[in-house]
Amino acid sequence: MLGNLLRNKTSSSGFEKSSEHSDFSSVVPNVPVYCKAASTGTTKTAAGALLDTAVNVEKPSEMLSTTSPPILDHISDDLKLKLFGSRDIPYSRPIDTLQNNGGLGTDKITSINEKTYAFRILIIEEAGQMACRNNYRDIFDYTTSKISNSMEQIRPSELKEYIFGSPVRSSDLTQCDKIRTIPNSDLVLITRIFYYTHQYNRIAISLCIPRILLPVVAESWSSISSWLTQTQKMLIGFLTKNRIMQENTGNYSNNSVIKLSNIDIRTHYPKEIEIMVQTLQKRVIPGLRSMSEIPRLFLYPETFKEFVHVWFKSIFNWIEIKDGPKLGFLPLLMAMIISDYRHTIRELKTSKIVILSGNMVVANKLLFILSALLEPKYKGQITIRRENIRSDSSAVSRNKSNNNFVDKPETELSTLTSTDNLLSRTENNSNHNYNNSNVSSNSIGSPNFHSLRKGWQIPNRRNSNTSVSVSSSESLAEVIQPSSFKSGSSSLHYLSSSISSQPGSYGSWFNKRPTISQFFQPSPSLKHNESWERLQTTAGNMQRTSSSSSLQQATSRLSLTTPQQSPSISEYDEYPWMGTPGSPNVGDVSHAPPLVKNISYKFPLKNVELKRDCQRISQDDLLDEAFERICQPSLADLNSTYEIFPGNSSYADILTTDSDIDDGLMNKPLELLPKYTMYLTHFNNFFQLQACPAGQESESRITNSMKIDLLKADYTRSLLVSLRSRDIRDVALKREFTGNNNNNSNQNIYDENFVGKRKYVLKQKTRKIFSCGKIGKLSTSLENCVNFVENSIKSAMMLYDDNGIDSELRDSEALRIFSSLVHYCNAG
Amino acid sequence: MSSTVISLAHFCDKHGPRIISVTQSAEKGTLGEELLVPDYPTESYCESCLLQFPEESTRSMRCFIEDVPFITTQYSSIRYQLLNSIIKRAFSEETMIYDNMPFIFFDDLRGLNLVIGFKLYDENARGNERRYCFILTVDSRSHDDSMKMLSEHWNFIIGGFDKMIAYIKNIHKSEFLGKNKTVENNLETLNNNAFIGSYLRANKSKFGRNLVSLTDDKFLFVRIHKWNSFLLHTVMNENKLP
Repeated sequence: MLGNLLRNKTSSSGFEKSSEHSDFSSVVPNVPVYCKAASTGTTKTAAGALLDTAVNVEKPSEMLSTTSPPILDHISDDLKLKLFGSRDIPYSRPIDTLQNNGGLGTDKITSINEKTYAFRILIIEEAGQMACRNNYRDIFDYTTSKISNSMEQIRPSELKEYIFGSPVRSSDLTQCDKIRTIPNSDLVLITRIFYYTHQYNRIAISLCIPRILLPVVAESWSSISSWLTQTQKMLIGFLTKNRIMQENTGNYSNNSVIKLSNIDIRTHYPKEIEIMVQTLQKRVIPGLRSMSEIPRLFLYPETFKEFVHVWFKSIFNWIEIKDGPKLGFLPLLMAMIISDYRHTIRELKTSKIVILSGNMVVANKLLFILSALLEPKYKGQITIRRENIRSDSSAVSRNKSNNNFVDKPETELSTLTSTDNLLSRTENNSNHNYNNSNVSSNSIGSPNFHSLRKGWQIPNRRNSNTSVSVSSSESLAEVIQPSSFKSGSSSLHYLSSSISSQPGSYGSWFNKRPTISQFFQPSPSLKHNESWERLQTTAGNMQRTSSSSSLQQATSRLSLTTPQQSPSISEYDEYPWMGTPGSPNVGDVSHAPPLVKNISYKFPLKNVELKRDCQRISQDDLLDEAFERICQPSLADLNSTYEIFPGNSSYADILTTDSDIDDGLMNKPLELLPKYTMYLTHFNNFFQLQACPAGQESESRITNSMKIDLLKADYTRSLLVSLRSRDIRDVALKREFTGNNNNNSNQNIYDENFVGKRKYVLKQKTRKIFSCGKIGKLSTSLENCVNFVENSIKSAMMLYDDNGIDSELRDSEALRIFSSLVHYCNAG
Repeated sequence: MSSTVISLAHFCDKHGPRIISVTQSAEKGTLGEELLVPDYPTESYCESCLLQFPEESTRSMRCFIEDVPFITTQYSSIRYQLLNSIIKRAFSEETMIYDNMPFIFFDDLRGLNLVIGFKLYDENARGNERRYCFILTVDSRSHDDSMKMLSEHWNFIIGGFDKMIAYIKNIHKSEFLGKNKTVENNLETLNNNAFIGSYLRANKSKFGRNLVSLTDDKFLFVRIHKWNSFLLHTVMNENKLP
């Protein structure tokens, strides 16, 4: 069903790509290349291919502050708290102060997705004749919007006021960059003003984008500045060519002024114009959107014991279920990050860690484990929301607090499983079934860990007796017997797996996985991709030629995926030895409703409440507290807070105030979250830690993005983790120049666009860290780190297994082990 | 001496763009004496442009955060030309909108500047309003580094300025309402303030008023000094961590 859901998305996207591509190709012969309709189609195609947000989804403006990205729709609350530190992750907030002013800013954002597609490019030249009434000339005006909106309706003459400012001009001829909002609109204007060879005509390159992107402009400035510089070079190239042409034809004289307005750049330089527009559409705007709309991971402080608890449980869960006792996949991966990529990711901004998997749930769990080893971590206080405990359940809570997680009876876990299956069965929509399946998997994951650990022993009859004695209902007794049987069954299966210690047993288990993995593949794999344009074209063609057969395949897959089967498939992928609970269990659950309320699993991070959006952590609480403490607005007299120091011949008297900043305000916690994110439907070049679907398509995207990164760097690395094939590969790409480095001025201008003409060689080196269940050659330091990680995990396991350890002692020891992992260095 | 500066600027009816206060920091462990200013006659300033201290003999304010001196003065003897160039650009050369929204500009002469403009209603001013802006200046030729700092503290900086501007507006509103007896008419006047055009009509009966008088807060500039010091310290502090 996961494959169906992702395939539905892919099919829908493919259909749109095909349709819009068709529009584009049909329109091109009849109208100019840069008519708005055709360009809009291209924009949507490019953006749709790069981003995973649903296209053309209208959202009302009043929901803006609480709207979360659609990518989070399938994530349970527990997983949100693990990955993001909050259940509520809205889009990056535009500045709200405008709304506080009555009467101002009546325009509102009517559609998030539509606005973020639109942009406007304005190139304007201002002649030096101040007396001239019309001394501005529109060189280029380009808007991407099929639907009429406020961006297009603003006349260039109105925008000039904000592009150039007042007619008063400074005496210097300095190049200037500006970022500003336009009042009574939802636009942000980014402008570069420069002069050509110190003449007095100014040239402005302006980019209009929606205001919702304002918070991410500063972070994306290198990308925006690069585009502005590229466009500036292009325009200077036009002017230089024009001057040379005039000199050659003899029309040039010292008195004539070279102006852009004398050149029809659309007619004479269509190729360069297209490159400029495409660079913006395919790199700059998607980057702004990614930083604004894709939620980023929150790295908990290393002193937060609730987090450390959940993290270790996740590792134990992974090792028990995914790795097994022989394979060292996870410790090796953790060691690789601790000893190498933690430093590389911080120093080399283009390096990445990418997890390739067809299973979103598993990939997100691995992301949670790995992200805890990275920097920078949040160092502030975590707000814990107080939980209301009712009087009738306080006794149960008190009893639970005395029990350790390890001692949780299997009866409660099994009943929880049955409850989730019952809930998933009642859903008719297959998508909802998929959602519930994920919820079920996430909620069952941690409890089942305890069940599996208990699998080493025969179930304790004493616990069963205790459960029976607690309840006076006869129907509860019926629940116990099937649950005990189920527990015994899984116990026997697990023992069978562990007894057969031959490597072949795991190999035979792995042989089953390709069948399931193929089911989850979201898109057809492409053997070769030269560029993203080729990718789109090929995908569109395939979609068009085989639409009927793909529809039949989708139908057959849907029929095969019954509501009863979908939880089984998801569970089987993680717990292959667990059977599906039969229908009698479901019937029995209906007879014992009181038990369900008392057995809810208490997630340690449940009460974490962090105010944040996709990009940043809110600073409102910090500023409120600081303002009250520092400025003391309620105090009318501040005489007691300062004293007068006498002056001397150099300076007058000094009013010296107290420093009211204590440790809480001295060090501001992290605001801008690092660019790590969750499982995405497509690889995204702007994030350093992410997961995406496995397949040749994703790997091609990764390789292509590394090549694109080398346009501005000489070296880049990526760590690729393929969960399906159990690969860990360290891919390094290096650029070496060969031959003559002298370039013509033309090639210099189009430095970033004509890569093929540059004389250099790309060298790629792939190091296999872990492949086909075997560990590759490791350096001594990496091997030492692997041993350290394994020993740390074993110590933590013993820590959580020992029932006699005091809770506080266990927490402090767990924090110490976690801290040693986070601060491991090779010298140690 | 840090490259980051926070200024409070004012577009005076008579004198045009003016710096009211500038907050800078000096080297850690020093007294910051190079940033202190000597005595100057306050009569040469108009009321509107004056940094008004609660103690009349003082000309500088100073506080220490982690042994770093933060100093607020009427003008900066070190960056006088730079700040004048910045406020002329912000007030005269650009189309300034006093709506609490940020305006960012960068060039090699003036560095990176983030300007947030706001205005206060005052019937004694031309156009019935007085115009101010807070300016965060990063005196650096590296645009990328300046943008990186701005990006890392975006919510903090915008929110910090908003807090002080909201405080000034609120106490100004209280002072205005307290001064006049008819509450309904005053509220209507304040609300209509939003629709006043941008033209400043000449009227010789207008006179300058100080922010202290507009807000009826004798210690307003002390609060501004302490708040700017806190913002500066936080913004500078994190850059040193890595």
